Amino acid sequence: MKTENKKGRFSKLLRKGPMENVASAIIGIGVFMFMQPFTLFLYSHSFKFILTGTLMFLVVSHFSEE
Amino acid sequence: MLSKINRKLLNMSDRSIAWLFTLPTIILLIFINIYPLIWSVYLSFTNFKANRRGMEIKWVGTKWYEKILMSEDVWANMQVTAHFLFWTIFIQAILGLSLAIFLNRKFKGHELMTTVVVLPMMLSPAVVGVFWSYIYQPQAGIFNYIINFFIDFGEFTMIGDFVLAPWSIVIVDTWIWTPFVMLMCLAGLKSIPDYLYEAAEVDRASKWQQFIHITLPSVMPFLMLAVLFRGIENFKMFDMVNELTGGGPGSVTELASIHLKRAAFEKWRTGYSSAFAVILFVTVFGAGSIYVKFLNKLKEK
Repeated sequence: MKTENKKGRFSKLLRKGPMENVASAIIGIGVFMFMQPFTLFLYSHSFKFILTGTLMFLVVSHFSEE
Repeated sequence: MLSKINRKLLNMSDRSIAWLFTLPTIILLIFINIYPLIWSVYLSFTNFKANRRGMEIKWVGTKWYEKILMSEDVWANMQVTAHFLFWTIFIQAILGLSLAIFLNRKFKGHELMTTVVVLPMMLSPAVVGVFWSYIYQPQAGIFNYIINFFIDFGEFTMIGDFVLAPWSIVIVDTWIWTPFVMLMCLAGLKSIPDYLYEAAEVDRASKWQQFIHITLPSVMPFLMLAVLFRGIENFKMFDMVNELTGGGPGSVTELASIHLKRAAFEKWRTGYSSAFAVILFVTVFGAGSIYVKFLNKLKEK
């Protein structure tokens, strides 16, 4: 029973919609960091965000809707 | 022999025939798209220089990526690109939509007007860059003459001034590509059925309400698609800006693609430029993916 609940919660978390939103947010933050004029620190770390977000987006876009 | 092949073809399943027809294209795409991409990713981790073919290729790890992402010059190039990208898209979206609404009305000579408006889009960006450099000439250029006709600024130079040069490339790109955005919006406007406006008029909706609740939602997917195309295209804009300003004065108009070209074909730093190209590719790909996702959501609505 407990494992079924855990499984249900896990699969709820791994749905396409919310995960795509998380990936999109990471890409969005990365792109902003890449092109912002405020600090070099943000620019220097931007590619980590963009790459992580893009790879995540590629993976989660193959998840099922439900 | 021929009949043998014919018999073999006749015995093939639909799936196999589909593969037979698409396979040459897939192979071609792998060779002209996928292979160079993978090759440049590999080169971005090496010290390879395209002008020294005999040189031993050494693995340098993420050295070029670190160098690019710690460089204040590349950061400045990205800001120049961001300025160019934001203003061209913003101005083109507003002007394109306005022009489309204007040309969607039937008036005398509206077809000629559409043709004239679309003309700049048909010219090569490199050619446009060259002739706009004449238009921007401080002494003989017509641009300064027109500006001074309305407001007396005296003698000024668009492409030689640190403040005005970034705007000069925005103006030229807007001149070339606003017609494209207009055409896309015009397609959206033409797809709106008349009965929607008739129903709105029966409900006594004002022209402004009709625009907000009928015109804008119907045109939005088309406009967003145009913005996507322009965004991707302007992110890698090279030819027009290279001909018009060459990245100058200083480096105030040095877009990312101009920096990339200089590193690759003037300094021959192939590994470094491959790394920069990979960074730009991943950025465009990521930003494009989320944009398409929002575009699809908008279409569903």
